Amino acid sequence: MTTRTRRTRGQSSVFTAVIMALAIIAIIAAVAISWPMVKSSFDKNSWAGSMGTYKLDFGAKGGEIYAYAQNGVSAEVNNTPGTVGYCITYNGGDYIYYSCPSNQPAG
Amino acid sequence: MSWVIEEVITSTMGFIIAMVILSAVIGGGLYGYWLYVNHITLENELMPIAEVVPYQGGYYLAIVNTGYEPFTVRQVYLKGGSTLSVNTKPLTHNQWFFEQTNQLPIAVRVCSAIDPRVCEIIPVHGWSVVDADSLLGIGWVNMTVLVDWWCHATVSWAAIGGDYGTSGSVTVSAYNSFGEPAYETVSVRAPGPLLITIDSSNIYNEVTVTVAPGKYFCSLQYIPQGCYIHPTGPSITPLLIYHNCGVYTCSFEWMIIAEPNTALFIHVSCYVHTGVG
Repeated sequence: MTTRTRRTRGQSSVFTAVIMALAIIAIIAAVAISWPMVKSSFDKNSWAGSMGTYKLDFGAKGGEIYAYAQNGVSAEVNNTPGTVGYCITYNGGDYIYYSCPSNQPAG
Repeated sequence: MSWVIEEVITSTMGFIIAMVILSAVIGGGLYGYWLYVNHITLENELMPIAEVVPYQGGYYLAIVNTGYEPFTVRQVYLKGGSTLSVNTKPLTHNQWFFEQTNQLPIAVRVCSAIDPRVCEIIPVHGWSVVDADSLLGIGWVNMTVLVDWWCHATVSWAAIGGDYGTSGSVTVSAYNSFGEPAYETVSVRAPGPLLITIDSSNIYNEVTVTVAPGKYFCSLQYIPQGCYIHPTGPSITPLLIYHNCGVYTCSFEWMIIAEPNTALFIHVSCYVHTGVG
């Protein structure tokens, strides 16, 4: 066996260091890449929670019916469908029809 | 040949080759993971809301982008099993898309405008109803006016506190009913409280008006008791606002206020009372 075919201690150390460096880079990269996904998962969960309770309240003022959504959004209810916040509503005569993110799926 | 392979594996060149392969594997793995994460992130950031209300014999579908990732609406799934293909321009934050359909839409397919391969099928939210009359304070006042023999009564009503123009009257006479009482029933669609006036007269000198809203009643007699209230509790207290007695006849006017969604029983009875004028 010649010295050319034997791995030196120096090479082994460099090998180990490079492996470790690559491993650390891979872990950091994986965490960094994952972060938007983790954040978007939290976003989606909190969005689903807020949408699950999003509804309309109704009231009357001066003979007209008003719909009140969240965050102070309100509008008069007309006889054609219109949006109030993230809900839609209209006055069908005898009844006010409305659909909000908190409503159960249709069908 | 074996010494060549051994040379490649163990020499510095071999070391470099190993590092390159390792880096390529890690890099490739990270790239694949990045693609996956990107897909999931775009999917998570899709925040569409679809709603439907019945409208004009069909359905009115509305889709809004509540998030910040723009998307396009691709397909609407109808309850009958058919699919409606739509291809909207990208909806950005708080933008709406509306569509009228003949069949009930139950789900829609939306795709990210950033990466059209990222799609989501979302259910369509159904609707609720609210009684418009109850919101406006509108309700029915049902009145039964019962008039005894020899009495005559006119019941008039008018909406108060608003410019709704609801008013009317009904007259019931039992002058010539040969011992039988006469009655009328009337239902008034009231946009708020009704002011009800009961004018009655008879050829004698006393009239009793009993107003019974639901299970309660208040009995009014001008002579001699005045108004007394049934012990079960009053809900209406009529007011005597006018009376005038001549030699042979007396006229009385009573006033009450009725809230919507009440039933009134107004009984005008005659009583022969001598000696009092």
